[in-house]
Amino acid sequence: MRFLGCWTIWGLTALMAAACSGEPGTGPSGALPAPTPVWQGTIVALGDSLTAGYGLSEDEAWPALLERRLASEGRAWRVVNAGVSGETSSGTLSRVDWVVGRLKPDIVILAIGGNDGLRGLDVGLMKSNITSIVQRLQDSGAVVVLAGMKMVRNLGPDYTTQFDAVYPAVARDTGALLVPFLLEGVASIPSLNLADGIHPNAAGHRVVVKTLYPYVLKALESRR
Amino acid sequence: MNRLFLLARREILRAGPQAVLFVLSTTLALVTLVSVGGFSRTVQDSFLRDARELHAGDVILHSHREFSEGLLRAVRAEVASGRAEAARLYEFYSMARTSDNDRLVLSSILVAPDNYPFYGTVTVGSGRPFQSVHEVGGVVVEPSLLDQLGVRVGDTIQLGSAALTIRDTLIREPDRPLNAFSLGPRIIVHAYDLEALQLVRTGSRVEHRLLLKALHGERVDPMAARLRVHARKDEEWVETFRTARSGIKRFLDNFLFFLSLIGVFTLILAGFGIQSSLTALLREKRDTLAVMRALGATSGYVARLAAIIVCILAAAGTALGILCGAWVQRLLPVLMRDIVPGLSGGLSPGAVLEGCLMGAVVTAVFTSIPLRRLREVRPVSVLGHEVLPETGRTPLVVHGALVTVLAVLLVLWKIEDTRTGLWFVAGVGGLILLSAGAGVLVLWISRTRRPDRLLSRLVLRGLERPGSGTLVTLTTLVTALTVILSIRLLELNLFQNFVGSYPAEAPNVYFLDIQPSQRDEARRILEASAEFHPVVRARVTAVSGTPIDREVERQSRRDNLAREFNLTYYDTLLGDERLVAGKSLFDPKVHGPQVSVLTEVLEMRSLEIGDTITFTIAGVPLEARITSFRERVHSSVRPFFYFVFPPEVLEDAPQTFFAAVRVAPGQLPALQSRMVSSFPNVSVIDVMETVNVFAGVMRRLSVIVRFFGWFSIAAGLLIVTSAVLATRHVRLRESVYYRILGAKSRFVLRVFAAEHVLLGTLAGGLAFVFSEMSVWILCRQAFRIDFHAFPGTLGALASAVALLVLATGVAGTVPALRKKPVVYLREVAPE
Repeated sequence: MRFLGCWTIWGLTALMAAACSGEPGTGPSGALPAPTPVWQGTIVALGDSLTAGYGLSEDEAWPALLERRLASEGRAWRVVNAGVSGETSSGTLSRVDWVVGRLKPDIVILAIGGNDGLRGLDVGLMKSNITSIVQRLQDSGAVVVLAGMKMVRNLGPDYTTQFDAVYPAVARDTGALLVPFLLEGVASIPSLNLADGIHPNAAGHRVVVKTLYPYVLKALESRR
Repeated sequence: MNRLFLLARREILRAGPQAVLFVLSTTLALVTLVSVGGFSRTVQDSFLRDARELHAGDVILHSHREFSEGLLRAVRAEVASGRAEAARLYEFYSMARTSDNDRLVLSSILVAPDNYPFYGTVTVGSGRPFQSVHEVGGVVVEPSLLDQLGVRVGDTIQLGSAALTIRDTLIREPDRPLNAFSLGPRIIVHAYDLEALQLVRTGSRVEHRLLLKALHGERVDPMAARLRVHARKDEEWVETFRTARSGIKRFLDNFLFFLSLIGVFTLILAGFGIQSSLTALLREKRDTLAVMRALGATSGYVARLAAIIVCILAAAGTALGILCGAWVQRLLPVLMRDIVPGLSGGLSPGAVLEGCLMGAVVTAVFTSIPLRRLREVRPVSVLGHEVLPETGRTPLVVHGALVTVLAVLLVLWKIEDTRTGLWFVAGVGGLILLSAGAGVLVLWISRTRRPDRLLSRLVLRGLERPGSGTLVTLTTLVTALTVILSIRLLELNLFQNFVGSYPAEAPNVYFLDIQPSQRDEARRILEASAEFHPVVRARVTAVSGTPIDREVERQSRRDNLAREFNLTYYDTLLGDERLVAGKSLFDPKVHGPQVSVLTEVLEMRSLEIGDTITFTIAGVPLEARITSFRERVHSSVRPFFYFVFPPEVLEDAPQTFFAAVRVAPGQLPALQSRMVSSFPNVSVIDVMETVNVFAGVMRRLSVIVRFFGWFSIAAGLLIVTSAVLATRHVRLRESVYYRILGAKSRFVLRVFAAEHVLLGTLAGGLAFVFSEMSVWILCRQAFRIDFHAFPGTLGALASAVALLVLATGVAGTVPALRKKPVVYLREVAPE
């Protein structure tokens, strides 16, 4: 019964979220209908604090900016921010079925692995996790855009070389679209990062959207 | 003049216990002034020295990025001018490997020059001086690294591009406990090897630190201010060992404030003791003085005699106070050798002079009213034994103003913060008014009651007997008792909040990122003692339908709703939680998701039961209704959650678990190895050393808090005794009248015992309520710590003092009851 209960509540919330993407709503007191967009599909941004927009509001994080950029060019795609701060690839693997089941994504931008590296976790484990995540998403019919990460250089050349190589290898093995480096033009530039030096600020997130955008367009193309 | 001194000497020698109480009150005031104040400064110096060691320098600069050229130039200028010595430190994580690349471990690297640390010592396993093992080409490593890499002292490890030899093991760093959470064992590398590592470069994440040691007595704060001008805002931070925040610093601030409070409380209490005992003393001498007036002595002559008596007693009290103060100062370093090492004993001449001057001021002010009342002793008094008329309005107003001004000056002098000081004065004034108001109410009630029993009737009438001074006695008792209970309650709260935060069984190791599929196996490895907590990351997006304005939230200087939160789920309160609103954690009658909120959230936003909070969990909104508010009973290091849901709401949400475990020293490496080999994704955070260091320092300070708390309690007890004895004279005479009218000694004793039980119970009960109220305000507003009521302990203390009132009252009456009435009357008759 409890099992049913939890499914019901999460089913309901997922439905609520889905409902937002469905029919146009009606404004209060019979006024003109509010201009709620009719979504052409759902893009899920799946990742860690870099996706969640650590230190910023969700509105300033790249998923929201991406949705606005797409909308400004006439592409009414809903972009769901499913970033979880502090998450590792193991965490994402644990919840990937939940994402697929609840959010029914057409496209998934997967940006995970940064925390694995910062905690010095085994690169082999991370590669295996990301490969499994991509495969499960692809099995559900979603197009996967894999955002590559580069590890901070202080971890040493051996570790960082192995780490950086994971993303091209997974993309090659799974056929996912690869963005070589999510933080291209952002990492190590003080004016684009928060004081902690690793999380992009609002301006940094705008650069991330520029980096991602061509690959998102490719993913949209592949959906046709 | 000689005759006056002879008279004064005779009167002092014939004085009763009130003279002793007067001297003791003066002594206590002096001991407090010279001892608590001096000790407070010594402890502050001692702990500031500790704080220096905890930061390893006088001025600490830090940044997540390379320091700006402007700031570095300013540092170079300080060094070049000979005002400071500098040490550049780099802190970062890196992978340490065995030379055959077989094993690798994430390690916390500290790159430090020869002159690190400026204060404190780095302790190494061999016991050798750190400088002898901190050399180029070598490293000092935490023992757990040896276990994890399977290497020994003398072996070589690979760090970045450098091969370095392990010279020794690292036992303790002076400034490590402040940077508590670490994902890996520490390795200290010599600064000359920084280039060879090739790890600090573009794309590296490094914590840059610069320590400065002030030379030639250079003042630290101006130096920090000079450097701060050049620091980039929100990127580079310049702190001194005094300003750098830490749990110990906060406790030290509270501790010193508590000592100041004790000093002020004791001084004011002792002042009241002086006044109370002198009033009673002069009342006992009233007949003698009246006879002198009848024989032609002028009121000026009588006043001079009384002033000489006061001066002699005050001088005796002052001398005794300075002696005791010196003795306490000498004793403290011995008593607290293990608690505050390096304390110096002895009194400085300045402290003695300051004590004498302040003692004279306190005595002058608090004896003003009793001396003033001497003018009202007329020759006719000798005939009628009539009661002294109440003091006129003017002296009372003058006296009240004098005492208030003195209290304000004393408080401002001791507390050093005008605003807090004025609040304190207002609080004490309010307490005295409240106590007096309660006394008036009690007297009014006793006047309207006419019990049938003779004993009860006599007790109630006794409260109103002429000259009994019940209102003054009750006000004094309630005020003194409130202070006693407040000091004890405050001390208990400080202990609970700081020392109690580190109980012996507190978890000292955390395992992060355990996945749901790994929980059962992890539980088996960590055994039953581990506490597992599910964590669901979420943001708050709206409260009762109103979206969160993140800009407004971020402007809050405290915690706010703009950040991400860790949600969890359970269906019964944790052991250290209790409900403050709501019938149960969750309400079965409420449909839909519910949430229980920790009271800390109320400091971020005003919320009510029934309000809704909307969360976003990984892109999915969840609206939940508030069904209860919880608070933590102990501010412990145990995990706690602001938002708790019923399991059925969250257990299917994306989540991880973390486990909090208490691990015995020496067992961590094996446990860590088992966990990491089974679950390579799990990270381990070891706070064992941090918990030990913090707990140790706070326990030491709490002993001192308790020691000085007894100063105030002793002053309060003196007042209680003095206030009860102050009306002894009147009571003794009344007991004689009772006996002349045929009452048995036993009955008279019962009347006085019942009267004191009533006084003690009233004072105890009122003080209990007032102290709970005042400490609640102090905890919340001044100390900013959680408040705990401790009703049992406080009730027991209140009862004990009520018993003291009874014992003192009865003890003061018994001698008169043992004598025949006629003998007593002859003894007290005017000479």
